[in-house]
Amino acid sequence: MNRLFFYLLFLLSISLHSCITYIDKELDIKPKLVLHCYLVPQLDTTILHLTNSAPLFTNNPRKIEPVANATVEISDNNNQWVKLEYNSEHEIYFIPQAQFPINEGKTYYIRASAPGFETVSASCAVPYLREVNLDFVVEEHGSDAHEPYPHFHGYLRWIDYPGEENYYMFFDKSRMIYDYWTYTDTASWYSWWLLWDADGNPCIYSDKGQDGKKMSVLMMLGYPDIYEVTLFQTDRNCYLHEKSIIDYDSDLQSFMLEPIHLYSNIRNGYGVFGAFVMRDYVFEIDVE
Amino acid sequence: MKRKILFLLCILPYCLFAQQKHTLSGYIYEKGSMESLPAVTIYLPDYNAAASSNSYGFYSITYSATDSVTVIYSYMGFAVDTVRLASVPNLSFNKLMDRTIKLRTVSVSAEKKSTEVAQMSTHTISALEIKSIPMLFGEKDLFKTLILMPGVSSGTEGTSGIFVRGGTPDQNLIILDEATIYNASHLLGFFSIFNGNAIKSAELIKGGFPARYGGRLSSVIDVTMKEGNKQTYHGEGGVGILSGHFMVEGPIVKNKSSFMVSGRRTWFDLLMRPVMAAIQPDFSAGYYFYDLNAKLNYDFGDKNKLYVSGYFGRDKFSMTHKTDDWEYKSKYTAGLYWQNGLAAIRWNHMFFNKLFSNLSFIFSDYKMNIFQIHNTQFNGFKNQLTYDFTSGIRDYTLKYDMTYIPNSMNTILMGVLVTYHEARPNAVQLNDDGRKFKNTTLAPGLEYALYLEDQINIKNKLRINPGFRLNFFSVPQKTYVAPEPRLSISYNLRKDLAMKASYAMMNQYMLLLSPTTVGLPTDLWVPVTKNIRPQRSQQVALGLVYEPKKTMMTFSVEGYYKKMDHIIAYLPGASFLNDLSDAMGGNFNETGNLDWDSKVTTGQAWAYGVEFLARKSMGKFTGWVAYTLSWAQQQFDELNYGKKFWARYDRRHDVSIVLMYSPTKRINLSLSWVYATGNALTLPTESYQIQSISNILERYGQMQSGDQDTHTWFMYAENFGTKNDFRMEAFHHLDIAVQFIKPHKKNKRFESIFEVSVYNVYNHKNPFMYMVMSAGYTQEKLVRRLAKITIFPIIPSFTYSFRF
Repeated sequence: MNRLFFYLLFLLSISLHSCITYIDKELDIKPKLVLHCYLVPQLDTTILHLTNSAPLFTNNPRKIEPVANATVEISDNNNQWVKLEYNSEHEIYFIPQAQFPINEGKTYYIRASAPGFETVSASCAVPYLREVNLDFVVEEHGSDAHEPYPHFHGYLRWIDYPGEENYYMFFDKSRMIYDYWTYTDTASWYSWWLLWDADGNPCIYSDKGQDGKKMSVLMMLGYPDIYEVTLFQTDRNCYLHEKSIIDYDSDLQSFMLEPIHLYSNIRNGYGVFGAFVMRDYVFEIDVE
Repeated sequence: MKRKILFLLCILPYCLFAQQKHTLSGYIYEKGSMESLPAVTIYLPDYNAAASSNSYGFYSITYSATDSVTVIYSYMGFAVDTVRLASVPNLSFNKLMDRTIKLRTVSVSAEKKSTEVAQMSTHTISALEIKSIPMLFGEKDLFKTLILMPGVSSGTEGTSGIFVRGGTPDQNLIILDEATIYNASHLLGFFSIFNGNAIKSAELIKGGFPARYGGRLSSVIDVTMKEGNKQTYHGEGGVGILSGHFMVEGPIVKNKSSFMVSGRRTWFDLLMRPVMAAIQPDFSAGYYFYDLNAKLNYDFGDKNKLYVSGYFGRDKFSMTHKTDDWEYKSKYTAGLYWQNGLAAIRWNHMFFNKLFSNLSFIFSDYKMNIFQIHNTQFNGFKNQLTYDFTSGIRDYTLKYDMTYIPNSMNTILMGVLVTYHEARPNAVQLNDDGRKFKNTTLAPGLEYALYLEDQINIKNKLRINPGFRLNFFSVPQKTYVAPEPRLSISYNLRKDLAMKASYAMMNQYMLLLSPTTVGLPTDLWVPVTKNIRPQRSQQVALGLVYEPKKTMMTFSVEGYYKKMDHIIAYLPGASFLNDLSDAMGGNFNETGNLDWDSKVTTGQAWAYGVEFLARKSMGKFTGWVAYTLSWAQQQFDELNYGKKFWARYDRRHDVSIVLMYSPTKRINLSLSWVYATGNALTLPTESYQIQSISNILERYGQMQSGDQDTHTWFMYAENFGTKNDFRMEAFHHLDIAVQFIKPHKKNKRFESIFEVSVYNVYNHKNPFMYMVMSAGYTQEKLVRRLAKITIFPIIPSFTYSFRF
């Protein structure tokens, strides 16, 4: 009986032996340059962020960090190239508009090369700043047991510019004056953060199927006196890239969903080279 | 002279008409049980004429008038019977056929079936084969047996979803006594709903579909339930590691009416309940499934027969957690169940000996439900939150089929069908302490079809089966009309060698929404819409069948090419789970409406390959060897950058070896070995930093302001390479089983069967799935490892069953 018990235990131990096996898979993928650059006529400097990708499943893992020794060049005719400088403090490449102007309606080309990486390149066209008659109409949202005080929402409304592809984004412009990292007051700068509408969707729109038509989006307000918003009119690259970032970052990103490919127009690399124009709007709100 | 000529001219018509035709017709039954036998070959050697019985056992054959006729009845597993009948113009003869001892000691001298029909790409599985082949946990399963056929593969190890010639599981038309089944899986796909004890036969058609079938792209799995023994009472039962089962059949009115009832239930949860209660009193969880099959039939004579059949099966998983913490008490119950219910009433009517009809009314219902109930009590205040999500589909079908056999050369089949599909993709009910919300989405569809086909037999050498089916499918604001030509041809190069070819166009109107990576009971069936067109396939096949006489063997090789259009897939990041999550969170602003057609994209697919099969169906030693070499690709404009990619279930090589040996009447040995190339997967290949517009503008602002702060928010993302570019390891396993049959000492009718089986004899670690595991950071370098998850090592099983 003891022997039988031992044999059964032995068989059971084989049956229950480790169910997880690690596979040392070398995918043999070379790291690539990751380039992010947006051309904006309203900004006085063009900046470009360049890092490397880190291949997974490799015996030689690599750190993701800025690539400081690259040659980054920009051109407006794909013929004569102007080199960007590197700012080591902020880890970006830059070129002032005084040196290389960015104009609406023009096509620009970028390329970057660095030792150990394949040269990357891309092109984009800067959209025109179009008059879209943006306005803002406020409505009282009402109150209920959960939210007893009256609050408001409003419709941002505009008319799509007809006859061309247009892409719109709404951003909130805020002024950064306190540096929480160093706990000091510092020189202020503006930052822009993508707005989300009352239904929890990002304010990124294309005019597909609505060329020349009225477009609108519902925004929650609270109880404001004024409403400020920055309208970005972007090219297709910016639109697809921002949209893919949001989809990728969704809460339900999981093994059950179709993997999301982040948009990229960078040849031989990742990232985006896009362009947009921007205009600030301020709406006074009278809710009496 | 002129008078002679005139006389001859007058009698000439009568001479011609003197070639009278006689028709022999009737039903074929199994001797003893009186079960009708389909596909029995009826051969008249004097006329080289042949026919076969239909699915209800009816046959009819016309021949030139004579005094008597020799008829040979042959059917696999039964003794060949030759009778000599006195011939009359309309001879009705019901034949009783004798099953051979233990089904494996018969010799066959009549023509073999495969070379006698135009139909190709077909496999018939008997109930005995299902019960003999060794299976996981000793649980015999129809789908696991079908997976051993060429051209058929499983999704992952252990699951019963089947992929036929590059098609997905939803593209298989699964019918049980003519009723459509939408989810044929138990236990998340590890077992099918078919209880082997209740099945009479199953036929798998992979191509060259006859016109009487429609609605799916890739296969037809036609399962027939037993009718019940019309003469004596019989039963079977048994218990294994996972479940217990029973079947009882017998006459209601001897030789006229019979019944069959069978059931199956898992019992593991019943055993675990007290154990869990002892270990963790505040938590309980359990899973079970059960099946119930029932069938009644009544013979009103040869001209009228009535069949009533039904099936109900359910899977349920639930868990309960209780908290009792001073002033706070809570009880949380959540679970998931899915169920199939079918009912079919069929009336056979024989108008006369050449015209047979069947009228069917069929009801089919599939439902999936997710529920949660949360009761809380704090400081005397009580609250209850209940949530109920239901999805399903209900079909009401009326169909009328007729078979007209005008002569020995033609068998004409025609019919009409109407089905009302009542799809309910989602029905949500929320109750948050009095605040109620209810929303139901209905997606109806009306399907109707006409078909006509002719089975033409030219001197038993050339057989042609042309067919045509015309489908209509109506949804709100749109009606789709689809003609579907069909053709099968078989030419006997020799008596034992036939060349076959086929073409079939199919359309599918009911679509399954499923995440690309897994198949779950929460997958949703929806009809096409005005925006999403029906899926369509066109398949051509060419093959050779060789059945050398007196060897009881069949050798076949078949090549196929299938093109599918308008197939659907979820867009990146899309899933009905987004809506479900909102609804489950009690967000009353979300209506829970699926709006699914905006979440999918359409594309095309290609599947092609070649299948080899060597099969021995009779004798002490039986089995088969099957090999498939195949490719399956897909293309969607909005996936994988619009480039073609391998389908997830693309299997380059698939081998199955099944051997069964009965050295004595009391011992059965069986063995199966399978090998298959691994599934295709999408793996992340690189990681990198993402900079959104906001990130870049923040850097700009910091630089312009001369700020010393260089910190900015950013995100890491992983790039997925070409879709499905990575291959899982090949999987293979060897399974063996031994059955000992022991008759009862006193009651010889009662037999006990003890089976010992071993799954995965050499304990190969077959991949069930892969996971990308994070191994953390080493010197700020992201390290990832790929982990293979295995779930079935070597598993011995023991089952006991009995029959009387």
